[in-house]
Amino acid sequence: MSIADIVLSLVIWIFQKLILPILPTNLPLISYDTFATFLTGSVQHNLIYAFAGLNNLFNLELLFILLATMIFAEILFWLVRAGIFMAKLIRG
Amino acid sequence: MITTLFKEKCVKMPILLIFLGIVGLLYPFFILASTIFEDNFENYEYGTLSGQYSWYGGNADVVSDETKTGTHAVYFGTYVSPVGKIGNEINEGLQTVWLFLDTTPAVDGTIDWENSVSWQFYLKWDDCSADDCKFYYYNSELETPAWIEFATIDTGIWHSIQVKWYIVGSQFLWSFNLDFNGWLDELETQTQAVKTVDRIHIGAQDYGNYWIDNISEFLPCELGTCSACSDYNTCMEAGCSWEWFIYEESGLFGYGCAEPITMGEEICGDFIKCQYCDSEVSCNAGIGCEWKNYGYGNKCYMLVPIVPPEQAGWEAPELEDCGALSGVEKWLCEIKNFIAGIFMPSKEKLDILQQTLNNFKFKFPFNYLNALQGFFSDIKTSLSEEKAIPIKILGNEATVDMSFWDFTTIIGGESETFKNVLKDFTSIIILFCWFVWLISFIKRFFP
Repeated sequence: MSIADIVLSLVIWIFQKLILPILPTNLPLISYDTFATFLTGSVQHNLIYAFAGLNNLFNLELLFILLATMIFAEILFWLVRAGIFMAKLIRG
Repeated sequence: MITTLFKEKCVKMPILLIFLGIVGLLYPFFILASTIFEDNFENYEYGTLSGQYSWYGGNADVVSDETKTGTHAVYFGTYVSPVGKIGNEINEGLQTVWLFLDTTPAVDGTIDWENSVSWQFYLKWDDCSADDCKFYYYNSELETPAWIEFATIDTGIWHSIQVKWYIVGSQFLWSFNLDFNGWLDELETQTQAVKTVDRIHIGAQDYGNYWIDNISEFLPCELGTCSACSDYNTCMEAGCSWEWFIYEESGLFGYGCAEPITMGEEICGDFIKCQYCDSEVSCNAGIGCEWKNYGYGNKCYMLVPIVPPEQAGWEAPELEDCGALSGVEKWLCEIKNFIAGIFMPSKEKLDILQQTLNNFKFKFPFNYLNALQGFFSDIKTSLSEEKAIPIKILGNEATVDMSFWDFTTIIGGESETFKNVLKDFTSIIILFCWFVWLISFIKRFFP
């Protein structure tokens, strides 16, 4: 058994025994199945049904990518602010 | 105070209601008959038909061995003369007759509809074998009127023959519908001067070995005659199936009542048919099946395919063969192999690491991120297709005509379509708006 194998065994053990068991599969409020089904079912269908015809006028792919970055950035920004606020609240 | 007018109303209203009730009871008698007569022979005595219920002539018998419904039908054996019956004289009507041809085989026979002056239209079956007969109609419109072969009908089963006659302008026309396959194009009847039909004759040729039953106007809405059901409710109540199909004769299409579809019994077999195996022996005989108990008792299930674990796409390089070398070169080669052996990971360990990393795909947040990634890629793929824009103006629905998108122009020496030009222009606007947002977002961090 080589040194590399020993290192790999250690890394594998950390992943399998320490990290993977504590990572959750589902969020408390919305399970993965609900989340995936909601996305691939109603949201995707409604978006495509509502906007597919506009692809003649707008580059919808670009539009949705930019919208997604804006939404993601805003959510991240407000999550960070909320976290800082909670930290200040707890510290007093 | 009771007024005189009120008293009059109290007397007149009951009288009116009684009158309407009498009219309602007698209403069926005021309806003009729309068929010559109806007969299912159920009240007949077994034996000779002639003489019973106004039937005359011929050598047909009322029997019970082969019936469409009930216990009575009419059998045509050896020819003597046609049997017939006179009914209502009408100029527009419909009649249905059920025919059963023996496998003996049957001998040819005819049915014709007549009035007191002459026959009007004829149908016959001829050239019979044990399996089928040829069905003909008489075409009086031809320069030389003749029997026209229409279809081949099987022996051993009941067939429905519907005929209708009607007046269009100055013409007296007829048509027939064999086994619900659609109405023949209308033909002129034989005698245009007298536009009525009042009687039916059966068996005007050398007949034999066939049965007749259920002479009626309308076919009953029931299993076996589902096409006679006119609406969804009666179709469902009869146990039939309400389906979408095309009427081949007219080219029209729509919903109609049809015989219910019966699925064949499933048989134990391979893969998806494993569930129909009810014993371990039959289950194990099938390919891809296993006899297991998942908590519901021993049942036959389809074998769960074993997916091989994902492997790392890395192969350990082979060590150099030092046997051919000698001296210092051999010594250096062996040192190199030794160091490589120490620090080289094995493929098995790398495969285990690969599988461990793959397990992260099923854990938060990686599974949610994968779902989002798949969602966006599906959106991207679907939205890249150009779909029609539906519009509705004053109740008329249509789609926007985008053909003008393909008009081209020269921009910078390149030919561009109007669509590309407009989409580029809108893309610039979208990017500009996003850029404005980006600046305002960054400014929040540097107030």
